[in-house]
Amino acid sequence: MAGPPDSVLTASRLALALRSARGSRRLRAFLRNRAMLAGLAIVTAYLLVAAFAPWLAPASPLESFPGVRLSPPSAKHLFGTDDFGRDVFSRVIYGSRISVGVGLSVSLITTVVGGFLGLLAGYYPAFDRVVMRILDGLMAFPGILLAIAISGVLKPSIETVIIALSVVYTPYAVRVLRAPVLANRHAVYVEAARCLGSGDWRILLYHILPNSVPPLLVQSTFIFSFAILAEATLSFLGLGVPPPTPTWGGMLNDGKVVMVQAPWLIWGPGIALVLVTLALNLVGDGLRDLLDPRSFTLQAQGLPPSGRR
Amino acid sequence: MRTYLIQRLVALIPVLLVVATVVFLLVRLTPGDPAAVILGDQASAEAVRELRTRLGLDDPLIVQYGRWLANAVRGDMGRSLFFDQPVTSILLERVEPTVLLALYGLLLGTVLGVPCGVLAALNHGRFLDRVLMTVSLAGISTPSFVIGLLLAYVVSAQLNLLPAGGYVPIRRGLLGNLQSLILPSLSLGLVQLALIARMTRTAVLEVMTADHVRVAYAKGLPFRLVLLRHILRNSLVPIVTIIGLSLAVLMGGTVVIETLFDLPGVGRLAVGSILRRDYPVIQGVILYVTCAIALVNLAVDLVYSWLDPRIRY
Repeated sequence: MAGPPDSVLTASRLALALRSARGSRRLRAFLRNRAMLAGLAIVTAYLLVAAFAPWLAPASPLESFPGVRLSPPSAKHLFGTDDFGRDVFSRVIYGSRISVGVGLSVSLITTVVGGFLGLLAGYYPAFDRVVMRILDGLMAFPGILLAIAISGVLKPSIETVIIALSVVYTPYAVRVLRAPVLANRHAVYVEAARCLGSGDWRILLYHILPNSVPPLLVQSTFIFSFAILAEATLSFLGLGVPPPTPTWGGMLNDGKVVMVQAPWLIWGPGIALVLVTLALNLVGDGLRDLLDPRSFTLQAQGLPPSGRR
Repeated sequence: MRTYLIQRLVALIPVLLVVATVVFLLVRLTPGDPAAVILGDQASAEAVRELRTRLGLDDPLIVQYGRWLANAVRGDMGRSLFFDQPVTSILLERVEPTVLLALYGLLLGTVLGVPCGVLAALNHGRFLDRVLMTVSLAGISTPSFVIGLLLAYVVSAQLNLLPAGGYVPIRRGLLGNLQSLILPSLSLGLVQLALIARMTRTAVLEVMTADHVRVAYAKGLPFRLVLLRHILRNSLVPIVTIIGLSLAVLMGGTVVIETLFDLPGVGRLAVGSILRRDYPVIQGVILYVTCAIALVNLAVDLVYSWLDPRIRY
């Protein structure tokens, strides 16, 4: 039996070879980006620590050890104890749970809600005019001020923090998806799909969305890191998740008062916070370079979305 | 230029309307009765009723909204429940530390950040560039209050060089004022420095490879002049953009830094008012600060056309 003609075979082989070359080039670029790999490693560790906190922490974060108030780091208490005699190391480990919970929820909510609104705004001009006016207004607020106002008005809880930060950061997700949707709206492939009888929803979901989504993915990584910082800031101001739940920001606030006698109270949560934010920024930067090496956004420069109008 | 200014001012109206509406809704969306929340659990029913009347909460929502807008336009934000003073006068008392803090922070970030960025761009890909960019990424990832805690611990607690809190007004001497604001402005400014350095590096890198720079070199202009006249001048617009945009970040930062360093500014007033449930003050602070930022951003846009004559409106 004769196989397919030679020319077809060659063409398909060529396509295959090309595709794998492109894939491996991406893989190589990924592996070459050591900064991003380091960031990814730290983020993975952070997620694992949060997931397995009860197994990793040597003590309960709420348990007071009598007679060891404000004791310096030792073999038994790696990061020392706080003024209630609680193990700071365990509290830092458990603190990651609030941080991950808020960061992950906020970046998920903003990506889904913002993505949905951005898709519609980019496609339907009438909707665009209304939504963008509202979002311009929301973006005019300094982010942290709006967040503290919302969490101050609602009952203090982790849900409140998530709601407040989602309101603050959703406009930035909308913006990032809306622009490429706007650009793709009249692209030839969209016209072609319409000629073939595709409806609006099919065009939006199967044609425009896949072609517009990469910047949004980069943005959600950055929103993750901003949300973590903002959560820590709210907790530091006493407007986040209320004590005694351990949060990194709250621990820094506790440590502030006794900083002179017990500086170890701020090292643990401070270093954890900086390390995780740095790692997420590295991942975001790397992801942007991988998905579109030419793109250059302000986010890439690390400007928190709260800084954009 | 004139028409552009008018256009921009008109475009500001819907933004400010949304801002005012959000600030209004913020308090009205409180679960439960705002008056009861303000007064706390122990309040008598009579006190709650009295406060409701005082705040005008018994009127229909739309009437309250109309009154709020009309008052806001006239700059009347009501009276503080805690200080028993007009909100506007409380705010004016607190403006000085906040404005100076933001100004010093921005100054620090610009004066140090631009040279760092230029240096990194000129050494593109080399050791110095990598060091500067790694440090600036770390700077961006560090919240200002962690830097502030660190500075307070090292400089005030350990070295005993500067006060770790308190504020000296500028009319009681510039030196004392500067001393009381050095650590707070450093905490704020280091993040700005990192941002501005990164943006400057990008802008300079982009201009460095442009044709007109090659021409400047080709006609034998010394490096110093190429840098000053051709590279830096053309990099100014994106740098000014980032400075304008970072203003909101800066204002947000003052909230935390004022609380940390115990400065009697607008930011600490906001946090304190939220803890005291002093709703008129919260609303006033947010509305005024947001409007101020919107206006400064407009001013920044106008600076563009002065910096870059190619931008014509």
